[in-house]
Amino acid sequence: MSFLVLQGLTKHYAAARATDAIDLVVARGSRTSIVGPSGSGKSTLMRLIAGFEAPDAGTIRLDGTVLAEGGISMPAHRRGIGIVVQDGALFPHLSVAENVAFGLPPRDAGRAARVRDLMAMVDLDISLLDRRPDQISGGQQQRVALARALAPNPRLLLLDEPFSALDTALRISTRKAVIALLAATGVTALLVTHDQAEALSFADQVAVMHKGRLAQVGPPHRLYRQPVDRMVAEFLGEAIILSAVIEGRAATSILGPLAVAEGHPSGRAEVMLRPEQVRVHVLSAEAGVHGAGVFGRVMEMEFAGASCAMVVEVPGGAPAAPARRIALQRSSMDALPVGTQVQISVAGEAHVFG
Amino acid sequence: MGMAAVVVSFFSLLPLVFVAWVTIQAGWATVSLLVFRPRVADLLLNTTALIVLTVPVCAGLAVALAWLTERTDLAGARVWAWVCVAPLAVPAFVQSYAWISLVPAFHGLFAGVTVSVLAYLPFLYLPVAATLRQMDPALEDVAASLGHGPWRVFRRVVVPQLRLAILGGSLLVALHLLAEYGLYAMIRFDTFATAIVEQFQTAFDGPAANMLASVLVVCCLLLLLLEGGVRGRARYARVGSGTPSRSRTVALGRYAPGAAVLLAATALLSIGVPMLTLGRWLLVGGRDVWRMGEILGALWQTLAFALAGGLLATLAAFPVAWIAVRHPGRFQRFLEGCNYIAGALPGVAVALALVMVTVRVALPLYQTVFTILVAYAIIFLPRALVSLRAAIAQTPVELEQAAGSLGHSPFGVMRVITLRLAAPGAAASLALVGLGIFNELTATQMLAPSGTQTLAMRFWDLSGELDYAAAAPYAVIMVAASLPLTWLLHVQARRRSGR
Ligand SMILES: Nc1ncnc2c1ncn2[C@@H]1O[C@H](COP(=O)(O)OP(=O)(O)OP(=O)(O)O)[C@@H](O)[C@H]1O
Ligand SMILES: [Mg+2]
Repeated sequence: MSFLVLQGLTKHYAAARATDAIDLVVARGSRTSIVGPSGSGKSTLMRLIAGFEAPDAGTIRLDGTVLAEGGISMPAHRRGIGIVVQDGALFPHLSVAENVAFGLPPRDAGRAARVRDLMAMVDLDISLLDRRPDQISGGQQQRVALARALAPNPRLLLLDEPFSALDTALRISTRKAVIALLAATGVTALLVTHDQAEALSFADQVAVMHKGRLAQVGPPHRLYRQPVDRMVAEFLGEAIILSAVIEGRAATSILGPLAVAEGHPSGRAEVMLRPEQVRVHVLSAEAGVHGAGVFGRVMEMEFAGASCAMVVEVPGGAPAAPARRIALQRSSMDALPVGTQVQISVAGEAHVFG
Repeated sequence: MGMAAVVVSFFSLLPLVFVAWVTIQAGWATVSLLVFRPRVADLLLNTTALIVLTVPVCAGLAVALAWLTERTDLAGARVWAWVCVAPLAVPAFVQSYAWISLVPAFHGLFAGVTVSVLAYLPFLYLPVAATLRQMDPALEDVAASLGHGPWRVFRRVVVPQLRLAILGGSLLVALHLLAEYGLYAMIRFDTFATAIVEQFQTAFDGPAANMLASVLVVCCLLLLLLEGGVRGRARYARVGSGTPSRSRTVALGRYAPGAAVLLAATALLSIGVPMLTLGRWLLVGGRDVWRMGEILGALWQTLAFALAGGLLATLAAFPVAWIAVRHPGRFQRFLEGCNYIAGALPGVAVALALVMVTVRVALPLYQTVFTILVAYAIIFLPRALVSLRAAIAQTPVELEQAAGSLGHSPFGVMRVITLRLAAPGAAASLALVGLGIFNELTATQMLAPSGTQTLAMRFWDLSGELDYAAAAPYAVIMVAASLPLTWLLHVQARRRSGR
């Protein structure tokens, strides 16, 4: 099933080690997203796969054929790999139609029809065909770039932050359209993004990149729930990281006893919770006390439309231990005044960092 | 200000008015007699052949050299880039002097094309190299990912984006080919410019010279129209916001020696030959050719002309530039356009127009310092306009308004703020125009008071007497004076495009 295989892929620039011994396997027809902080080498990885740069070491295999190995690199134009970059990179001197047809064989009778099909596929109006790239909107430009990349039926599609120039609403709708399109055409795709929500919702497989290395690769939910380290945890979303004492399947922390998975050695360790696992209950005469949860106090409450951002302070257990503030989200329907006394309970397991 | 701008524009349009007037006055019969004759057809053929051969060769060579210096791993690319610009410091007639004194039989069309290509190459190299530097490399990458090999990517993605630069540069070269007198006179290749000067010297203000000038002006206008038509309304706005990443450099591999040979050959021919010949003549001449009294006298006169002409052109350009920036409108754009068209007209036509006007209307002004300065101002007005416009556009109008709100009169505001802030632009204008005048030959010969001896004139007379050794010091001074500004242009072009 492995379609694209990267082994020990390394590229150095004079100053930086842009990618460092990358190993990655991508299944045929799957979608993989690559996230990581700026400068972590994501674009470099894409450029290596596309063939714009030659790796210093390592191999790239696509569908059994070697694209790069031991200093020999197949040039980009023979690889059959399409790419869409951040600002679309449409050819400014060509019309939309000529842009889309750029990768089609010249003097092909079916050219015009294929261009129309592609325009329909990316949900663009035929009337745009004669316009110049600077006469259409940013979202339309990205769609044209996508149609252009898909035109020659690439074996693999690389998307390097293709949605980052778009505003939020447009970006979500374009992303959905791209996912549907990829599913329909069955093209294997790699998406680079800064946006964790985008990475998680796009892909079958997510790779987190850090300083030129892949910190963790796996299905989205596993990376989100069971990140290998603090960096990955915090990169993929808000994380509450607590120090705890593990004993069997239980951990004792400032938030009281937490459930953890089996098989962790006893003793001190760092555990992670996602904010949505933490439930906050108002203490009142009618409601009474909920089970074993610890108590806390609302310190900040910030209205943000649908939700509100809340900070709850939990006193330290032992006399010497400092109090801990925890940032949480809450529906703005249930906003609480600052100073409210609350009780906290935790749903699901806490993740123990190995 | 508006009034001043109109007056300046009127002056700059003088040659055009002159052409119209002469034609009308002469009447159709004379015009057809003077224009439709074998001599004019010969000149037209020569000039056309010169342009048709020189411009494409120049453009092709410029694109090749610019690509090599900007996009490949060529050893010493930065030095080569400077070498490609350096011929700008060698006045065209010095270039052909170098050739003719090296190869005395160097005549005719082939010689004309060769020397023209070498002399005017930088006009195309500079814009093409700048465009190559600014081009978004992602476009080439994407084109490759769509299955196009390097050569096809170059042809279908790079060259089309160079189109505007190539067109603009080609127009500039073609206009110079039409206007240049010294280069072609030296190698005895007849063009309109040489024929006009020849006619003028035998019988000044004769109808024959005037009609030739009319044909020349019409040729210039046709070129402007042609360029405008070919360019169309194309503007290749970069799409997207990202700053372009650094373009990759192409590894030349086994082509590296060939590329180096091409650059070395161009450099050898365009600056090596002038340096060699000048060096040789200086050696041959020894100390005798440095007649300091004469040389210093000519230098002093040239500097005085350059300074006065530079000041006049800058002063004249100021109202036009100020109005164009501060009060843009249709009429103002029209005025500015007039000045650019006028600037595209050959100096020989401007000079002839001024001769005729002074002789017929204001004889006391004929061959006075005033007239030659006016001619310089008209010929070099575009250089002044470009510099001043840029500087005034960078002066925030808010500053002027603030000064106004602090109680300064409009005139006071202009003196305190605008002139102060536009000073760097004025200095640039002074330098560019001054250098142009420093190396100007044709108009000076035709208009300057008798007894005037500028460096270019001395050089011309001495080399005309085949005293190449005695002419050499003058050429060296002109080249040396041009070098700093050429260097500045080179550095600025690189800085503007971010490197
Ligand atoms: N052409 C180059 N020359 C030198 N260094 C480079 C070059 N391209 C990238 N680098 C360096 O390699 C590292 C990785 O760059 P890369 O563009 O791959 O990062 P990225 O993860 O795509 O970042 P971003 O999210 O900001 O796009 C950076 O430190 C960068 O400075
Ligand atoms: Mg990037």
